[in-house]
Amino acid sequence: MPDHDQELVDIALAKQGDIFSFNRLVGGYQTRAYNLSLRLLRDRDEALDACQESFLKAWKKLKDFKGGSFKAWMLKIVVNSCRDQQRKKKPTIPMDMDISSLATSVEEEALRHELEQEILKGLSCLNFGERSAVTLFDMEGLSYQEAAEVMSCPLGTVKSRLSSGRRKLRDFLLKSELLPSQFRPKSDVV
Amino acid sequence: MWFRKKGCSWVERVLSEYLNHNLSPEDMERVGHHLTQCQRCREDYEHLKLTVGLVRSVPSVPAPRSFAIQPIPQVPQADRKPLRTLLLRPVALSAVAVLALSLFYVIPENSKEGHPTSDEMMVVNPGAEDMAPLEATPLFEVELSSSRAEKPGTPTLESLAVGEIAPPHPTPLLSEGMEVSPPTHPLPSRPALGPGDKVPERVDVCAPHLCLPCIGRIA
Repeated sequence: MPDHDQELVDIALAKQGDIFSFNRLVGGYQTRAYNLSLRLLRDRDEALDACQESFLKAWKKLKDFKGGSFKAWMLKIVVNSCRDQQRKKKPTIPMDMDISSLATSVEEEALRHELEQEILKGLSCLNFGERSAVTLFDMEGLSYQEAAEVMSCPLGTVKSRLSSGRRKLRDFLLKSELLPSQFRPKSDVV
Repeated sequence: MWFRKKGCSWVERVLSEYLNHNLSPEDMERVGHHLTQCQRCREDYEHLKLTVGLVRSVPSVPAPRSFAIQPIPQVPQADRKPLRTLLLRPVALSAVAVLALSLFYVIPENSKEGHPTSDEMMVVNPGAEDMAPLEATPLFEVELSSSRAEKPGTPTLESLAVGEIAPPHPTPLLSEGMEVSPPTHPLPSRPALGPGDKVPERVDVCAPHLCLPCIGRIA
């Protein structure tokens, strides 16, 4: 059975109260949800809290899911939880992300790793809307329509936030002199 | 010059869309043409493309733990205890413990620290223990009603006289200069005494309720 069909079955069963089916959905989305929360909140513990809260909300509100993209619906809950979490905490100066938690492998190239760190640091310079747009579109691979649904805003707003977020990131990397030619991707980004 | 400036700002605004191929074919061609003509916009485009490529290349990290929801085991209704009962149990136990402590420790401690016991309260006059025990010699005889006399612990006139029991409400003593009003109740009749008659020992008073005028008469 294809993954999409399996997901539809799991959603239907979970709506009837089957928690094991819901946990299969959780397993399919938890990495994506955690990464999104981590990039939006820039704090590992807060990201964990937001994720757990999101899946609990999803379980409670699953009956309200009317169909469409479950991924967008789930990520919308995650973004809203992150927004709530960010409102709760006191405004602070953007801090460096816990890089150790982001490293996938210790054998990762040092320069590449440093560059990733700087990119994530640059993300923290964006406001929540811009960061959401960049993360959802460029990192999570959502379409404009899905990103608009997740962010609960019009399509044009997503485009403008994505554009300004990318420009701010570019300026940040240029200022940090972190755009050397050896790190340019070989394939065109389109 | 004006056209070039407007073209640059417009291109800069739509560069992100151009990267995503999200413009109309005409606009795509217009931007592409502009980029071949304008060095500054071309550099901007290259930097933006590189930035987006780097952002997309950031790997995702695995979730440190599972977020699966644990199913709550269903407890049979009969085995469930109300939450209030469970919460009040330690309170009730504490209250019992405090009461027990009060009974066994607090009250005896208080008696040692100056609170007179019932035995100590019997001694009205301090230092009376050293003296010889007084005989309960009645100063006068009264007729007490049986109901009052039978009640244990009720102060009698005899006990009042010898000072064995402190009266709960001290009867006002008659002092000099105090005017004694006539009794407000009819006194019991007694025979008139003639010369040479012996004064009877028995004095009729209004006992058991000894009023102030009668006390004056006794005195």
